Parts: sequence; C-alpha cells; structure tokens
Amino acid sequence: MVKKFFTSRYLHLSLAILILYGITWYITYTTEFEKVTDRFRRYCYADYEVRTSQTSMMKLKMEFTRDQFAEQLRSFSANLFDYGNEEQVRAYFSSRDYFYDSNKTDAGNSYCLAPIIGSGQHEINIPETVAFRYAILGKEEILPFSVYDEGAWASVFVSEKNGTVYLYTGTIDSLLRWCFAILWRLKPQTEKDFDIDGATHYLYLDLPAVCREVFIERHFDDEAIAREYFLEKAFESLMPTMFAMAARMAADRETAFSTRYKYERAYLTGLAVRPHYTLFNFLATYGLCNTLTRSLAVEVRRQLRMTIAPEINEAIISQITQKILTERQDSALRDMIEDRRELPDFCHR
Amino acid sequence: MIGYKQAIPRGERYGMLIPIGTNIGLKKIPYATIGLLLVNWLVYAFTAGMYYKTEFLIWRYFYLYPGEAHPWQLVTSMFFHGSFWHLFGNSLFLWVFGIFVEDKVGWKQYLFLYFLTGIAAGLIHSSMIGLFLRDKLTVPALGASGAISGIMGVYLYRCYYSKIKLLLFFVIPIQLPAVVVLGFWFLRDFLGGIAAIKGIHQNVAFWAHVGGFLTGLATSKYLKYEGEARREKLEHTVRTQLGRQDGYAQGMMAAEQLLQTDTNNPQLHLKMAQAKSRMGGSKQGKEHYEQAIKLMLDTDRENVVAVFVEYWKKYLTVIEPQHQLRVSRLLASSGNTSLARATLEALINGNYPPDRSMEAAYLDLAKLYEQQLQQYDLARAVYQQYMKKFPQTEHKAFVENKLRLMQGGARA
Repeated sequence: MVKKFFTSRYLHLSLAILILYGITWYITYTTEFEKVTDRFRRYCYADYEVRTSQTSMMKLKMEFTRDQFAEQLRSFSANLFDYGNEEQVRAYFSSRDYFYDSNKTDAGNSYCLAPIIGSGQHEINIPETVAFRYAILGKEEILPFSVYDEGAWASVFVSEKNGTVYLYTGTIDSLLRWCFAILWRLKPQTEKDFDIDGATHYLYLDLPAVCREVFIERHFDDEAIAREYFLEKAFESLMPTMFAMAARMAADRETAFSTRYKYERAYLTGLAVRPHYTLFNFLATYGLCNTLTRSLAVEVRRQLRMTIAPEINEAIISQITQKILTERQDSALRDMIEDRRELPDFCHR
Repeated sequence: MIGYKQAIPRGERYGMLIPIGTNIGLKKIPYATIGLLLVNWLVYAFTAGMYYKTEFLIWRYFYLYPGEAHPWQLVTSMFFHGSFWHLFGNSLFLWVFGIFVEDKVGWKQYLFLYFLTGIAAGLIHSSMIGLFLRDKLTVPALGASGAISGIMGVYLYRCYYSKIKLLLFFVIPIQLPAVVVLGFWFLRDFLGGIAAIKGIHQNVAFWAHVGGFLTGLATSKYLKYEGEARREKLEHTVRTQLGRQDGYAQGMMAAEQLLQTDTNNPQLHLKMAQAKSRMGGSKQGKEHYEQAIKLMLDTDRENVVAVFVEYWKKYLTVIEPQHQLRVSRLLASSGNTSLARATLEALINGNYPPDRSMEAAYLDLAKLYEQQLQQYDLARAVYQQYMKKFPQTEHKAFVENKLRLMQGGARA
C-alpha cells in the first residue's frame, strides 16, 4: 500500500507542480520596494481616476478602489513611511535614487516618481558660464496628472526645483522607440529611406553614423540589443542640448519670469547653443499640442515658413531660435504668451 | 488565460478558424466537462455586473497576480473570465477537445489533468513574467485557457491521429489533421509569447497557453498514454479504412499490427476475415473467420450465429469439431435447424478423429433428426453409425435402447 502510494505517477506529478511552484516563487519574488512602488502607483492613478470620473457612480467606485490601494499601501509601508507625509515619502524614494514630487491643489492631486539615472554638477556656456546641479530622470513610474490625462504632450524636457535641474529622458522616449520600431521593420537601405516621417528624417541627421550602423548595415541581429544601443546613442546626442536647456533654467531660477516663459527660454537657449534636429522637429511638430510650448511652436513654424533655405541645418536652427529668443525678450510679448489655458502640473516641469 | 480586461476570442486569433468537432466518436456522456462549463458560466453569471466593492475584492483575491500570488489564485483564476466572448471562446475549445479527453482517460484523470495543467500554466506564465516582463508582475491574469491548452496538449498526444472539424470564416466546414491544427495553434501562441517578451504589447497570457500545452504533452508522456493512443490509432484506421472499397490495405496492415498485441479480439478477426474474403474465399480469410467464431462463442454468443452463417455462405465448410458442435447447437436452438443439420452432417462425414466432440456430434444429429425433424429413419441410421464408430461408448445402453424403440418405426 505504502509502496503503491510512493510509486504513484499522480503523486510524482503533484510533486513536480510543487517544485514548479517553488521555482516560480523564487523567480517572481518582489522586493518590498517594488511592492510599495506598485501600490503607490496604483493609489496615485486611482486618485487621478477619481478626478476624471464622469459620473457619480464611477467616482464612488474609483474612490473605493483608491481607498483599497491606500489600505494596501499602508500595510506595505507600515514601517517605512506614512504615505500622507510628503517629506517622509520623498525621503524614502530619495534614499533609493528616485525623484518624487507631488502637487496638491483644489482641483486634485498630482504626483511624479521617476528613477534618477544620473546626477552631478555641470558647467556650460550659454554663452554666460552657468554651473548647476542636475539629475537625469528615467522613465516615470508615476506620471503627473497632466501627462496621465493628456498624454506625452504635457511632458517637458527640463524642470528646476530646490536648486537642482531635472532632465526628463522619458519625454522623448516613446518617440525614439517608435522611430526605432518603424526603421527596424522597414530596413532602410539608403539615406533617402529615412524620409518616412519628419521624426525619422531628423533622427538620421542627428545620428547618421548610428543609423547607418543599426539600420543599414545591421550590425546587430538581436532587435532588443539594437534598440538598447540605438536609444543609448540617441540620448547621448540629446544630452548637450538638454544640458544647455538646463543651464538656462538654472540661470533663470531667481528671476520673476512666468513658468511658461522660463521653459520657452530654456528650450530656445538649448537649441540656439546646441542645435539638435530631433528636438527642433519635436518643438515644431509636437510642441503645438503642448500647453507650455504651443505659442513657441507656432512662432517656430512661422519662422520656418519665412526661411528660404531648401533644407534645415544646424545654423538655421540656431538662427531661428536665437531670433525668437531675442524677440521674446520684449516684455510686452512675454506677457502675451501667458494664455488662459491651465498650466500642466508641477509648473517647474 | 488573459491579462486583465482583455478578452480576445480564440476564434478571432485563429484567423476565423472555429473548431466545431472532431472525427472521433464519443462513448460516454462527458459529465466532468459539462460540470466545468457549468461552473464557469455560473461564476460568470454571478460576477458579471456585480457590486463594485465585491468586484474589487474578487479582482484582488481571486485573479492570479504573478508577483503577489496567493496559492489558491492558481485555481480560482481559472474560473473567472473577462467578458462573454472570452468565456464563450474558452467554452467552445473545452467542449471540442475536453469531451474526447474525458472519454479516453475517464473523468477522474480528466479533472486531475485539467487542474494540473491549469496550475502549471499559471506558474509558467508567472515565471515568464518574472523573468522577462517584471513590470507586469502585478497585472492580474484570469481565464481557463491555460487549463484548456493543457487539455489540448493531452488531446494531441492521445488522439494525434484524429481530424478536427473547423468552420472557416464561420461558414465553410473543413477538416484538418489534429497535428496541423494544434501545431498551428501552439506556434501562434509561442510567437505571441516571444512578441510579448520583445515588448510588443499583448494582453493575452501566451505563456500560460504555451505552458499549459507543454504540460499537457509532458504529463501524457509521463502517464504513458502513447500505448493506448497507438492502439486507438490502429483501431481508428481499421474502422475507417478496412470497410472501404479501395485502399483498404492500410486498414489490413493496421489490423495485423493490432492482432500482434491483441490476439483474442474477435471483432478484429472478423474484420480481417471479411476483408480477406472480399474477393472470394482465401485461406487466411477462413482462418480469421474460424478464430473469430471460436472467440465469439465465449464472448458474444448473440452474434456468433450470424457470423457463422456469413462464414458458411463463403466457405461451405465446418470449423474444428469442438467449436462446430457448439455453433451447431446454437444454430439448432435459434431455429436454424437446416444449417444445424448440414453442419453436423458435414462434421460426421468429415475425416476427424473419433473423440468426445465427434461422439457428441453424432448424438446431436440423431437427436435433431428425431426430435426436431421427425426423420426417425435417419435418426436410427445415425445411431447405428454411432455404435459402429464408438462401440465402447458410455452411452451404449442409451443408444441401444433408442434403436430398439425405433425398430418398428415407433418413436422413442
């Protein structure tokens, strides 16, 4: 009887499942930080959903969901921080190299959580020499409400807070990934083949060597490795312009300029000092949809129409942006660019 | 099994190829499959449009969270579905494949396999998420398709010879080999899983399908289903090929293979006999008939008379005395006295050694003449022959008495 029990194939199969369960448990083990971050994200997004609920029933439902996540968050973070205490939350995430910020208004709350993938001190001439502290942020774990609600249009490249300038790589990440995906699939053979879209065309102008290497010569067989390499190089090419933007943002920190104007100045300075095709195209094309850069994008397009050169080049980008920057120094015009539309969350963004 | 809030009907993913059945027959009512379907539909009926607080709790505690799984979620998540079409697709596949697996392995093993492969599917899905898609560790999964994939894996192993009936674009009926259909299905899921790993957003838990299917295959191998499967394949070939007007050689080969392991199968011998006697009598056909009749005498007495009549018409000869005697008695008791008489006469006129069977054959024939045919002269002649052939018989007194009584033409 005992022998029969132990030699049963059904018992063996059940034991195999138990072993598989053990392996799975090991593989899927989530750290305390992962759990806290996940619950925090769910809590924040449920809070956003309460804000955007169309009906009272939906609102009631989302409030309940949010409270449930809050309860789970409280249990996960019991010995770590009080999720209602901003300073404690910030300190918790800072200790793990995460940037956390929140903005609580009557209209509702907004949160931002992103990993810091690089930080330090930088000095650059724009043309005055500016030294500043910076932190490069990776893809956001929790998007601010405006970005969550309106999409990438509401996101920015640089912001400043407490003396540190934050550089957001997540803002252009999806566009770069889209460009990569389409180029990888279409397998361009010549420079001309990159004219699929404005974004791919200007990307080639920024990264001719990398584009040839990845898409034409196909140095990488594995798509994931190629994507990683391509994104790394693309971000490397973006950084000088973003640092120039950040420098202007840091230099304007003490000024009384409006938030929108500060961001416009930073964007224009970045492109004037370190011209970059993709960021210029991003401003002219996608900037129209962005609350912060809409009027600037309109102006850039107007200037482009006036340009007689057959092809945009770095000199033209620099000239156009410098021209707009000079024009906007006029305070009357500067006041006009404050439209009535609500600013995105985290005005410093 | 799918990621939360995604219900892609399987048919849609099949490219409008909807399975509606197979070409194998059912022997039993599939109670376990019906039960599983009933439970799934009841759970769906009770949870569809339920109060949001309950919905959240179910969502939290009964769906499968790879990163925070409670052990019971591996089972409970199998009974929840994201939408009507999600459940409908799964039900269709479970019905088409599940009923045959249940029929072949029995309801206990079937339920064991269903839950085993379903749990394994959930675990493999979780592992793949943990290895390659860690940002989805807290995305819940639900649905029975992992378990159903497992059952499909078992089906492929157990009934690999069968054909699947499909509806192309919902209207055109076609039939394709199970290996092709299920191989295609597996390939699609595997590629879907690869795409998911590569970052292409997919809301279907492809790795649960792949894992369930592979577990089904591996479990079938471990439970040694191949022997029965091979045997069934041969039986299937015999059933479908042997009766055909042309191309029955394949059926004959299958039957011969089957007979090597199942020598005492009267139906197989009968089918072989019929096939071998198709173009007129043959030595092998006769042997198979004889074997079939011999075996049927012990197992299927109801039909042995009909089979013997069929044999007699083709070969007009008797089988071994001890078996022929039993057949003749059955013929006589079933009212076919003329054939009973003919066979007994053939037996005693044959050149068989005088043993107890032959002795009984004489007595039976005499009795038949005397009692059923009232041909007393012939009965007396048989008794006399009997006495000549078996002078020392133990029935000597009985037969002499019979002969004495019949002397004057009177009945005994």
